[in-house]
This record gives sequence, structure tokens and C-alpha cells, in this order.
Amino acid sequence: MKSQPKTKPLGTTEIILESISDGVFTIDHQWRITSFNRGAETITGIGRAEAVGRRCSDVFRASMCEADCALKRTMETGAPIVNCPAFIVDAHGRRIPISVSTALLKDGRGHTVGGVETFRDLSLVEELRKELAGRYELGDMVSRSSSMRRIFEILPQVAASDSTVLIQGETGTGKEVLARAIHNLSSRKNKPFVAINCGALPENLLESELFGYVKGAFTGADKDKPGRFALAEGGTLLLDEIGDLSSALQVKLLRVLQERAYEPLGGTKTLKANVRILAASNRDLAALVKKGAFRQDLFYRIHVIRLELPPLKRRKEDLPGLVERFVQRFNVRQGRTVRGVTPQAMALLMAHDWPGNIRELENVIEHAFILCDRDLIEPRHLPEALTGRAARQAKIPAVSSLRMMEAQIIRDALAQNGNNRLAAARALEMHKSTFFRKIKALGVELPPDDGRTRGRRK
Amino acid sequence: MKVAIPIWQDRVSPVFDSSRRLLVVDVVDRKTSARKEIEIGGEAPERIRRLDEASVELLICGAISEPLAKQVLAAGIRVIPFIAGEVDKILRAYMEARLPSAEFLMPGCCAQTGHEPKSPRHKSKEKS
Repeated sequence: MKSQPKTKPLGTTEIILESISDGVFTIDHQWRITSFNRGAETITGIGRAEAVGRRCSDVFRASMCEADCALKRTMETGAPIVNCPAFIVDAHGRRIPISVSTALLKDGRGHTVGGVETFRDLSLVEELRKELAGRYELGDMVSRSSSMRRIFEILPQVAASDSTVLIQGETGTGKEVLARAIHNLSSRKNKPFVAINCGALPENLLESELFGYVKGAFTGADKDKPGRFALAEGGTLLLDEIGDLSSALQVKLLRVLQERAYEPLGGTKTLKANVRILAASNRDLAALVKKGAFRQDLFYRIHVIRLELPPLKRRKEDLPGLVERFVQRFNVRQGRTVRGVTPQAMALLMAHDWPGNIRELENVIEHAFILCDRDLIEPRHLPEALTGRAARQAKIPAVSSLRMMEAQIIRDALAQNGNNRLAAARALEMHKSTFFRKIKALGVELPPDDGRTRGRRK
Repeated sequence: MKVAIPIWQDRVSPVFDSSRRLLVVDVVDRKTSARKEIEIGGEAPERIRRLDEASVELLICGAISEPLAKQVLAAGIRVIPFIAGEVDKILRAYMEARLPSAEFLMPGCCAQTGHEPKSPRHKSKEKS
């Protein structure tokens, strides 16, 4: 180890400044940093050797620097500012929420020699606030699951890109809700969002619905009718169940995607289409391509970005939140005051496989609302499909349902990470020792094949 | 090529996420042919729309949050982030192909053109 050069012993003030977790820096009249404490180094990720002597705005990089610098206000008025909220951007591009306090810096004779700014990292407070709010939310979507959180994290970028997006997921997983969220986050949000189910209409009708027709195109066409592409102009068009498109319509759609133009039925004029296309399907399009039922070129056109919504059985940790949301919704709609579900009813909901996903859950809660004459939904209010397992499951106490949920989450994380324990722990943002402790406590059976070991053998 | 620099006073604005003015410069044969200033504001989609409307191909900016940087890149605009200094000096350095360089980097930032992960897992980058 190198021997440190001898430095002047720290005074009381410096010792205090070095011992606190808040960031503190001082500036001179030229807005250059004159001191930078350990807390400031930790929060900004910038060493004091690099910071001292530089302009404070280049070091601090706060949202308030340009428009409403707190220190500037203090330097102008002499009045201190306390706990002003802002965010800084660190060298990794992370936005760190902070609160800022400022004061004048005076020498022993009372002359102003600069300013002092203290700031506090509020990341943890923000995280806890989110945790208290309980979940990650995006538009109408709410989730605690890591797979959904990954979708939420990339969604702003996906929305901004204007590329075609393919949303895949079982029926009832919320494909249209996700499509709406993409639209609402995009620059097209003030323009129309139009959805059409390609599987719900016969081919000819679907064609005229999509592209519209001109007067006289066929018997009964007594005036021009704009299609969904025209209605969605400037906005977003969701083509739901795109796997059900006939091969003729697949060709026409491919042309629109390639040339951004189309002709209405019976029309001679080509119309421009400034529409963002989102496609959704509950079928495996890649498998349809292999079978020859879906055009490969169209598949690659719509497969620019692919988002897969996990089925509800793989995100059961979301059940309590979703149940709460549906209970609130039906309370409002029906003027009721149901508080929620009993632990026994929740255990039944957790034990169900949910082939119809969130839509099925909504229907189950609606069913329970009809039968429920109390303030809590009980097992007897649930449909028979769930209570068929009642004899086995209804005795499960609340604490068991929580343990069941935890065990399920761990099993899911292992499955999603190829049985690699460490990767699964990371995905759950859990320390490895906590992860293994939980596995033992919950009696989760570890698969014999560790994903990591398998990877090495390859 | 249209190059944009968010500006504050005569310097690169410290944080693109909250910058309010954008200098758009047309660079042809390493010379600036036209320059104009436009206002910019709002959240990511609004900022990207303004860049898009001005046909910007390269953004030279100060600090930029990772989500915003990714969205700018997704819109087909190159980014040279974490640049600090006087705008004219930065422009000159760009035209002389000296960007990014340690001389103009914000403190705490190593020379990179985007928010690439620095984790040792990404070794493929080092090979090139």
C-alpha cells in the first residue's frame, strides 16, 4: 500500500462534514466548487479531486441548475432555502431524486465568500413511497411481478420509437390495455387510438373496415366510408388477433407497412397512412410462419419490437392487487362497499390456474359481487370452478397463502432464469443468502440441474 | 448534417432532461452553414419531437438520463453525452473530430458515446 502524503489534520467542522451522509459543497463567486464532502462524492459518484475547481452546474447536474438554481436565489437575496426538490443525473445516467438546501458562506469577518449547498439522496424514500403505493403502475396496468416490471421499464422507449410492436400473450392478459399504454406514452397520444379485432370479422368486411370504401365500390356503398387506417390517421392502430388475418389481407397489410399507403375499396387514389401499427396475437406467430399460415415477410415487418405479456398463473403475486382493483371498480359501478376478500377466498383464487387470465379474474369478482351480501367476499361467493377444490384448499390459513405466494414467486424466478439460483435471486432483487434462506424456509424443491452448471458444461 | 446542442448562457446546458433552449447547427464540410435557436421543453416525447422536427441527426449534450438517451437513440439520433464547456469551443472540437474527448467531458464521466453498461460482463466491446 502506498503511504498517504501528510495532510493537515481535519478541524471539527470538516470531521462533521465528512461523517454525514448528506452531500455538501461550497462555491466561490465564480460558481466554482471549493469543497466537496464525502457524502457529495457518494451521491454524485464524482471524486472531490475532479469536482473542486469545476463549475458547480457541470458537477452537480441538477434539474434546477438552469431554470431555478436555489443557490443563485440565495446568493441574490441572502435568504437560505430549505428542502427544495430536484433530481440530478449521475455519470451512469441515473436520475437521482434529491432535496436541496442552500445558505450563504461567510468568512470570520462576516463577508460573503460564496455559497454552501447541502443535498440529500431521496432515492430510498422514493423507492419506499413506491413500495407503499405497493406496485409498479403504468396507465391502467398494475403489477408487482418482475416480468411485468421489465415491460414497464422499457415501455417509454418503445412508445417513443414509433416502430411496429408485436404484443403477444394469452387471451385476457391485457394486450389492448398495453397497446393503449404505448399510445398514451407516445407523441401520438393526442391523436386517435383505434383498435380492430382481425379475428372477429369475415375477410371482405374486414378489408372494408380497415381500408374503407368509396361510393359505388359495391352494392349498398352509397357514400364514401373511411376505414380504420383513416380514422387512426396521425395516431395508433391496434390490429388485434393479427394471426387470424387471411393470406390476401396479409399481402395488403404488408404493402401498407412497406409503403405507408393504401387504396380504399373501389378507389383509384392512393391514400397516405401516417399511422403507428401495433399488432397483437394470442397465437404463436413464429409457429404459424413455420406452418405457412402467416407470411414470413409480414411477420418480420411487425416483429420489430416484441412484448410478451405473461399469463396470470405466472404472476400470481399480482392477484391481491388486481382483486383489490376490481373490487374498487365494482364498488364504484354498483354503489357497493365491499372491502375485499377473506383469506380463505384469496387462497382459492391463488390456487386457480386462470386460463382466462385477468379477464377471467374480473368475471369471477363480478360473479362474487352478485352473490356477496356482506362486506367481504367468501369462498361460497366464488364460482364453482374455483370452489371445486374447496375441500382441499379452503382450510388454508392466510399465512399459508402468503407463503404459497412467496414459494410460487421463487419457483417462477428459477424457471425464468433457467434454474440459475443466483440469476433468480438477482431477478427478485434479493441477496443470495436471503434467497437460499427463503427456499429452505418455504420448502421449495430446487431442481437438480443448476442453470449455471449447465451453462458451463456447454 | 444537423447537429443540436442544448444551451444555457454560452455553455452546453448541464442537463438535457431539463434544458430549455436548443442550438441547431447545419454542419457541411466541417463548417457551420446555418444556425438557429429553438425552444425545447416538456417530457421525453415532446423533446424528441422537437429534435425530429428540426431534422437533428446528432445531439451533443451535457448530462442526459439513461431512459431519455435511449429514446433519442431509438429515434435514430446519435448522442454525444456528458459534454461540458462553451458552445463555440465544443462545436469547433466536433468539426475537428475531437469529440468526445476528456477535455470536454463532465467530471466523473469516462469517454463513451452513450449509456453503455460498464459491467465486466460486456467484454465483447473491449475486444474491438
